[in-house]
Amino acid sequence: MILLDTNVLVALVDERDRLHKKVVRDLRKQRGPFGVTGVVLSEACFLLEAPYLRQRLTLLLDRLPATPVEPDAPWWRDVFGWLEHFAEHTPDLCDAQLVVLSARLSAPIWTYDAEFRQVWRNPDGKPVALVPLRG
Amino acid sequence: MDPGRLDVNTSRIYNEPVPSRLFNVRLSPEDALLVERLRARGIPLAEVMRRAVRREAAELVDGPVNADALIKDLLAQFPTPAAAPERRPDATDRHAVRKHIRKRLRATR
Repeated sequence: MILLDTNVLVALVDERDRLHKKVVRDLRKQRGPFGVTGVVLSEACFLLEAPYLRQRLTLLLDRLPATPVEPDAPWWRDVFGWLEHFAEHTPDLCDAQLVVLSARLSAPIWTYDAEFRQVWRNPDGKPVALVPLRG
Repeated sequence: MDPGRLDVNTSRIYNEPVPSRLFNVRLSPEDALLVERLRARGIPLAEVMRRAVRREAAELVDGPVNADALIKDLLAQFPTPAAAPERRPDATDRHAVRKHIRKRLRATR
């Protein structure tokens, strides 16, 4: 399973996004299944406020298709522990959940956020598994 | 007789409020002939259908995405309006996104 980050969803549905062409190129190479967390969708909704963008998001999730995924409960100990570990970089819940889920499920994350490569690490200190992207 | 019931032997298939598991598929004469050939060899159509559905579903979930067709559909079905909303922060800039969300939350309180 590939875990989708907010910036991927936003770039796919909004043709005006600076990453739109790149994300479409990258999508051609991906094979599902795709997973999306509630926190990612929440963040995406803040960035995609116009009805037509949310309608596109709905269709995109249907057509990929994407599956809702959440860490097994109780997840907050691992997730908040991770947030505390990286507190000096002020990470957010979205990134924390993605990293914890990625480590638990051995699932790579598809993101264009450089912090996943440069800053964030799995709870065991290993690099975060990411979908390989060119350029 | 209960008007909600159907006077057929297969009533439980048709009139119970559960998702249908019985499907009618219209075949071309050529495909119908193929079905007859399969039956003659002892291969039931139902099993052929089940296998085909499983294979197609697996390809849908695990196969490559037809990215160009998907994006074309998104843009065609829900076109960008002439008065498209103002631009939003770069979604890869966590700090800008956080600032935007805070602003939106303050605006709704």
